[in-house]
Amino acid sequence: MHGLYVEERSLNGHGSLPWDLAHHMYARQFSGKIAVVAEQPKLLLPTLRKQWLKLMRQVQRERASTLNLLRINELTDAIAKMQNLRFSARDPKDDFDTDVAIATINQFLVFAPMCRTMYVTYPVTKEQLHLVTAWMARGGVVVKYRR
Amino acid sequence: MPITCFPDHPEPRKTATCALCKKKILLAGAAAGMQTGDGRIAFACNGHFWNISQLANGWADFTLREQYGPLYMVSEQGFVMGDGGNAWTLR
Repeated sequence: MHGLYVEERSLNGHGSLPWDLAHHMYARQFSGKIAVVAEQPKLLLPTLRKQWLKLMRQVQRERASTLNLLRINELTDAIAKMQNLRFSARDPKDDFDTDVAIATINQFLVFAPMCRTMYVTYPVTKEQLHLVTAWMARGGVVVKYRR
Repeated sequence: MPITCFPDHPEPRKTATCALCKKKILLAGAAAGMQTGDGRIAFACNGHFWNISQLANGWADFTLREQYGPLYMVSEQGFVMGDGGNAWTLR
């Protein structure tokens, strides 16, 4: 994991995993593609999308309540980006062009994602982590969730 | 939470400045955020995650500061360009 920032996060009873992912992804969505390593991608996808849409509505409310013109423009851009973000829990080798790819570690080992941010939501070995982050650009962020 | 690895520093830093509230924060309570204009990562307090107003407006202001640099100042009331005599204001 040469040249990458590593962040360790724990939920500690505050919010759910999809909630935390959505809020962390809000800032990271502008940096490029995102990969989420999940035990059950098909289960995480709908809950993550629900939290994402909920967050989007909250940002829309923030935009409606501000009078600052430039901030309104920035929030409009952010909302447009949020609306157009594509999520996929399909096998990465079948759908490699998505914005947020959710897959198991074994699927990512077959097709290493080229992304700027990777969320690892369950324990994986160091070797697996090194292999899946091999194509990440220097300065990317790896977020590991602790159980 | 803890940022444990930095690409350019063999020893992890202990503190950073929050990109949203500008306070000095311990990296044990920080989260990675957007990228700055020169490719570095900006950090923010974890506490801002709980307040959508701080999260959305904070990153919007951060982007504006990165785009326009120190000439510009974003305030609650509006937007003020701080360039000597050529200042313009949107309120």
